[in-house]
Amino acid sequence: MPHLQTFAEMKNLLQAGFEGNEESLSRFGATYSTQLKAYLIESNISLTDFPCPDEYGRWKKLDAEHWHVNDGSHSPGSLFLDSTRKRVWILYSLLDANESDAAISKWIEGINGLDRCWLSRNQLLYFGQVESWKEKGIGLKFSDGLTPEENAGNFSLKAWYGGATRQLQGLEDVLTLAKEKFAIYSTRWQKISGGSVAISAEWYSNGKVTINRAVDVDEVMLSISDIANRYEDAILEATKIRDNKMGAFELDFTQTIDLDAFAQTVSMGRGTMNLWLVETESESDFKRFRGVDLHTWDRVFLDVGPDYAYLTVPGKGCVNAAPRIATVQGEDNAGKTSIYFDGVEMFA
Amino acid sequence: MLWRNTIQLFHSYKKVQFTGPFFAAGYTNYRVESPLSEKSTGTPKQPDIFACGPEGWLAIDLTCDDRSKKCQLDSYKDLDSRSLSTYGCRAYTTPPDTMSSRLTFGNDGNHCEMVVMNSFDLKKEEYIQNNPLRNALIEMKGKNLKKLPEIPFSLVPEMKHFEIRRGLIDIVMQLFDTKSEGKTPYQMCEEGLERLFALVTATSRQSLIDKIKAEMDVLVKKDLAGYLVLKDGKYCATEKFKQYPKTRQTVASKLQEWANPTQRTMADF
Repeated sequence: MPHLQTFAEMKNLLQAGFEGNEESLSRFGATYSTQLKAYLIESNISLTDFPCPDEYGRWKKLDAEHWHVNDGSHSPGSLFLDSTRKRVWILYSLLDANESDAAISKWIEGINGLDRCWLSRNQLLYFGQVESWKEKGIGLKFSDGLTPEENAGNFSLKAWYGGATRQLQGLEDVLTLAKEKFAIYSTRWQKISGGSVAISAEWYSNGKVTINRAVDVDEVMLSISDIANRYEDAILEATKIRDNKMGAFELDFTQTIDLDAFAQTVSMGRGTMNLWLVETESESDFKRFRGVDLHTWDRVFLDVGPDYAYLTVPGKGCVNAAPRIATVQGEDNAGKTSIYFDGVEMFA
Repeated sequence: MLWRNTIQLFHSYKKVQFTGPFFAAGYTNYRVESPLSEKSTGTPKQPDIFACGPEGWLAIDLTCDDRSKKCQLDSYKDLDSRSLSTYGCRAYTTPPDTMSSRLTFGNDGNHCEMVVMNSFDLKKEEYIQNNPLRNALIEMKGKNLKKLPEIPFSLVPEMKHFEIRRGLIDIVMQLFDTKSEGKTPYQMCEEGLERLFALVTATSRQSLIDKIKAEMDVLVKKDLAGYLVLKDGKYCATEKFKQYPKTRQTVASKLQEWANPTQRTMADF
């Protein structure tokens, strides 16, 4: 990878990657260059003297404000950070998918004040409202994480849609039904321009996007920044609510959860939920908990019913806990999950 | 419970189809422990909660005390609505509606009283001047309040003994973060009072800090002995604590027992 100096060089590099892949796709039917990935990062800190992911050198400023590139001996010019937005950064990566995911996860976990952007169902389905975009696939997940493994009723489905979907009678109905019951963890989209594919992208609930195909780097960056803007707006709105109101965020589940199993899991701070909570009140159909969110060690109060929960974030605790808990708990044990405040859907 | 169930009357929850009467009447802009001035003298008065609605405003005092709130509520009738502008609210031509919020009925003179124990109850609603608000409050009578969500502050100065312990649980759990530098009783008080911290008097604050010290003393010496210590005025976790699920469960269980021994005993049987 080159030692990049300017923003234009970075864009040229990304553009060349897209063009190289388009060319090999037309000649050999497959892409060979690494696909561009981007990670939406929720940030509570400022970018001063800030480390790069381990082993990838240090952040070097590009000539465009708020843009940085990794510089060092190992894979220089493969990570680009756009910190234009105060609360949501975009980290572009040209590393191999497995290497990239591992490095970014470790980076986020190692720095206090960073988290992923946890995309809600409506955010994952956002491009459905935008002209020229077509939904081309979906990933659903239900791990049934509160049930012992031998009895777990887990479900996972990844479907890519094309004309064939319509050839199998009832398939579309099954997909619609499954979407309403289980959490969506990925969506695949195509942007059609002039009759051909301009962008093919897969978005994940943990804020990652993989660009499978693209023609124009500007179009790609705009589509990613569009989601980042929406997420930042939602975070700012939720923060305003935290500061000015005292009501709770309401999480609405489609699956019924086993409250005793939930209490057992959170008392140990175990499982993908990463919540360590103490039960303070208990009824057969309602329990109150208070404790910490082990992602950030922020305090949280969680009041849980069979198919809903109330989340209160005291003090200056990060409101990103709401979409994170909704996403993680939805995929783990609660199914399709929506967040409301005073009856109005949030992070939508 | 008094604060929680009163505050939640300003909110609405979709799944359980709960709409608080203040939310229903449009009183969604509310503030806690914020001073307003009296009309004739300019003397600051601080209702526990005031709220602004579409056609009227409201002052509420919360109390667990048997003594009457009549005098205090009478004095709120003289509040100058122009002082609401300090909080970005408009002025009203009428005095505020006044009411008390309690866990059992008292006798607060010519003021509406609501009870927010396990279910909502109301008396003397005829003193509420604003019709939509009065109707919403009447509509609320008998509704269950037991499963309303917690509110952000976990301590108030009037709390005692087990209430203080319960309010400290999550604040204590943060001490087990490997990056925690420990917390002083003052910091714990600040975190527990949350947005109320700046609003309570220095005397009430100090009294609460003393109560926190007393309850933490039991935790450090008995329930979590070995896991927590008081060092240089700060409560800190010891190296005995490891980030293992079993250790976390042990600590959680000890905290539960410390804060709520009755529930623990019942659950065990």
